[in-house]
Amino acid sequence: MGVVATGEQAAGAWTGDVVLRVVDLVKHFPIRRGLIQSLRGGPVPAVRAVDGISFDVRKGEIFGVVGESGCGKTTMGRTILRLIEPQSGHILFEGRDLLALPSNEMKRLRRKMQIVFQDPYESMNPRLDVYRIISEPLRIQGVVKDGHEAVDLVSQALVDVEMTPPEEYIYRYPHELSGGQRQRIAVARALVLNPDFIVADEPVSMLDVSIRGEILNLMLRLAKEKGVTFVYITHDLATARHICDRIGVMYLGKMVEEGNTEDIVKFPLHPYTRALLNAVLIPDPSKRGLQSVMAGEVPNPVNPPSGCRLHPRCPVMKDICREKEPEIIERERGHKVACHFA
Amino acid sequence: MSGETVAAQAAVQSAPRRKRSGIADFWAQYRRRPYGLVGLVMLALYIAVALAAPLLTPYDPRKTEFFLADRLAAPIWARFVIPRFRNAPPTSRYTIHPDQWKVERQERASLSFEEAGDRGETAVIRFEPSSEGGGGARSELSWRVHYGFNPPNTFEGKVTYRVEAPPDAMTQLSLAIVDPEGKEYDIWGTAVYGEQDWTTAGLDSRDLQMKTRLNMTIFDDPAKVIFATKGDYRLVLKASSESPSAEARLFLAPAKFNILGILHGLLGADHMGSDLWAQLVYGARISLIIGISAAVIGVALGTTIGIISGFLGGPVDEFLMRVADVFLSVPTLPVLIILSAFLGKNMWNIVLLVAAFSWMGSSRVVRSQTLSLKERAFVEAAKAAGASDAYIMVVHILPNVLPLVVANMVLMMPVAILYEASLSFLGLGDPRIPTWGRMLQNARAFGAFTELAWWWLVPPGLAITLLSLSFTFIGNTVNEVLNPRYRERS
Repeated sequence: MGVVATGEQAAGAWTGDVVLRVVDLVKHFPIRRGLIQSLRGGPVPAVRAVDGISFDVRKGEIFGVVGESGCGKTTMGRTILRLIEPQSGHILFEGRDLLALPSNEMKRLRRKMQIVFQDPYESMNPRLDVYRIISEPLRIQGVVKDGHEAVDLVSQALVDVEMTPPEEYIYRYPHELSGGQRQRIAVARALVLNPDFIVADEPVSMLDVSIRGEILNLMLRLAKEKGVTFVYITHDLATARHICDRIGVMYLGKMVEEGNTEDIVKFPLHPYTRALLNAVLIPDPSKRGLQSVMAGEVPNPVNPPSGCRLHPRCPVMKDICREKEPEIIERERGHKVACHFA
Repeated sequence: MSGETVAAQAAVQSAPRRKRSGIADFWAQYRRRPYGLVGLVMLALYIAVALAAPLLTPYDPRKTEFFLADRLAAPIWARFVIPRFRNAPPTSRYTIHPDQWKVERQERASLSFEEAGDRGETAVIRFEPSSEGGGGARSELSWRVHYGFNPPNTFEGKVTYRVEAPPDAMTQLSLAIVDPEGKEYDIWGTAVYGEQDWTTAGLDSRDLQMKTRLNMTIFDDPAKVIFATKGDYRLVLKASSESPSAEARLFLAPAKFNILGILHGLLGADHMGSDLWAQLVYGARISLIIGISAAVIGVALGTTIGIISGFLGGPVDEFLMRVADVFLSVPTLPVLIILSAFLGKNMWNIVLLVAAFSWMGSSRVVRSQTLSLKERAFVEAAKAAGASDAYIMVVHILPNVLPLVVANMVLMMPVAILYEASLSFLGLGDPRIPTWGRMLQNARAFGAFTELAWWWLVPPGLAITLLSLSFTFIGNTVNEVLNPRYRERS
């Protein structure tokens, strides 16, 4: 599949049930240099956090983005919502290119797209109570004025995240809540505007294992009952496999494999995906230890390796991998992979 | 899990008090720190004194109330502390009403009393026309006063009189003091030709006029000589008239006689005999107003600049921080001296100037805090909801930098007070308002150092020091309570 060059062309290939289409998204963070270094000239070095990513997300599905830390998945999640401005690419939400929208229309569109952050301790202003945290999007969007008009909506959001009875929590402060409760509040804040689309950026990685399941089940239920579309960003293939309909695997700012959860887990085509799957701990004493885990560290994203970015660590590496970068190609129906040997 | 539900129930029960829990928490921690409490008590005292100033002193230093006592009069309690003040005089003030005069001698004259409109009761001395053989009419009145202290430095008085006489008449009026041993000192006199409307004549033991009249040199002290002994003194008013053609009349309004005290009030008096305690008490008002308002304005400015600079970043940040650097590197006091000289001596000018030169510190602190706050996820969450920069700065950044700001503000107050005192001390303060700096400036300029008038030097200096100290105690305690840990993680 070739890279689509313009927004119109990207929109041309639109099919009805696709909510979000990301086309060739690029985000580089320039590195600040000292005076003398910048006088020496040359290109400004940059962290290539997201380096040309394309994927579709269909309505009502949970799309998992999996990768090691530092592979750019969080940056990608934020760029989709235009919390970070990308260098190039297109983000088509319900057929409209977000990057071309004027700010007032973007603000209106934000009602439909929300985000849940990784750290429930960081994502809430410690000086606001639960009511004001959850009602904040309503106030910003002008759905309600200040005051207590939003009590019903906030209570409904609390019920939706199974924090009942709502009046017990509504005037508490974040520091009076446990991590799991906070993350539910974060989900409630994302839900209160009734969005179609939520980016969940590692929503359970900071939580106790015992609470993770509750939050994940909550997401599943919201997707099935309310038809909310999720992009679920995680480093944990085990949870992704539990809730995701489809999974994309990222490595060093690139999408290396994308497909249905079933296909990815059972028939991984990319060596990196296989390594990730092997790294998942299996509660079976007969399978003690890890099998063929990838060697070495993630390379520096300022100077990614030439050719296939995985080649210094890849178990099946050949000469071609050093020179030619593999394109992501649909190998089977709905299963794309970027590897010369898949 | 059960622990959680218990905690939840407890939280529900305490729900009605929740709104105040921040302040209550703060106070619970604050009250455990002795220095903070000491500072708070001291500040409360200052505020009480400033508010109750009119109740604490009968004098108002904003009005010109001079010569309440002798120059550099010591506090009244100095007589119990310092031997040389043991029997020093306090101020004695007398108003001699016309009917208090006792007739000593009258020749062809008579004394009567009449109402003279707004002057109240006046004494009238009628002199018969003088005969050809000469020998005019005369009258001698006296008033007795007891003096029981060591010699004073100064006495002063006022005689108010009017003469109604034909143009060819000559009326003479003089005052003398007779000491207990009977020695007479002729201290004042005047001669009126013909008629004269109401006139007030002042007499002062420091005047050269009186000294020459007493045959003293310029360096002699009439008060010390005259009131050298304790006992009953008489003030003698002698009047005489030679009026060939018709009757002459001399009207006397109430006269005043004051022996200025070497001791005065709670804190003595300054070089003009103004009350120092009144200046100190009213100075607390000014210092508090200046300190608090300059700090509030300065820190508000610094907070605004810090938040904008930190949040917007980029060229705005560069520009604002370079401006702050310029202000930081300018030596403040010389600039304040020059600017206050240009802008005029006005209290609010000083407040604005001090504020204009004290925002940089808080702006840097707030900026650095903003830099870390704006990366926090709740700011991004607000952005994801479509919030504007202004909304985020006001709702999310400001409340979270407030603890820093409060501590900064309290710590800024003594700085502002000291700047004001420095400017006043250098003579650049508002001369119409009493401030501690001005007290010190006057003390320096008018001899308190050379005469070691500690009761003039020490109180304003101590007041400034203690007020600054109390603010510092409070500021440091607030800082300790609020800033090492934000309360979001319990």
